Amino acid sequence: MAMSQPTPNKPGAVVIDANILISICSNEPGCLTAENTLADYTAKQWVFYAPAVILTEVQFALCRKLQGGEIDAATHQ
Amino acid sequence: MNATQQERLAPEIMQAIIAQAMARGLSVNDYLQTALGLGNGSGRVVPQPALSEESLRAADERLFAFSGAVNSGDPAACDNVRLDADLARGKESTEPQSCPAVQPARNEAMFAVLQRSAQRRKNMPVSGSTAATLKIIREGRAGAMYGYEPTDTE
Repeated sequence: MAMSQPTPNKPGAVVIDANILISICSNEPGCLTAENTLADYTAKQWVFYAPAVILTEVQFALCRKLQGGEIDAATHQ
Repeated sequence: MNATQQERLAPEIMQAIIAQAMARGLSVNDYLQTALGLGNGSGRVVPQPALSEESLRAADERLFAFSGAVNSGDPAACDNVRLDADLARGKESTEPQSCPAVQPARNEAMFAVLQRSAQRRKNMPVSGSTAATLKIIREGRAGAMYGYEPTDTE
């Protein structure tokens, strides 16, 4: 995740990378860390940004994980 | 029984655990089970059976159906340089807040999303690794995501 630090008048901003969402969606071992980090930023009122291509990247990675047998069809759905 | 087994949790630690569990809509037991990697009882990655050729083809078709589904209208929208510039602009902006004394509302929508995703993962086996995911993403960005042979995955 890339960050822009907060100033007194403005909350911070953070750009979420696809691997964070993939970790949460596919329940990777680091999922809880990713989720806690998001919860922490949310609690601090930070603003989230992500490029539109993140949707395609997450879909691609989840399909690859399904193809590789890393996740099952139910998880993929 | 040794000293560690007799140790009691400090109240502030207990409260933090309860708060984390509540934020995810889980009981303290369920939350700790997940946090300790005991989600499916074993805490180990469960290997999935290999898919048939037909299933792989069908999966490919489903994946490629997403091609072109999203168009930002800007081919450089996700360039790292652009993202850095956007962040720098946000940081440098000195626009005064119209009402700096008022606390912004809690981001309930984001908390709800986090809670919903935690519930969905309740019976999901733990799988994969960050390293493997990063490798997939690099391959995707190097071309595989668009149906090309990846050119540079380092």
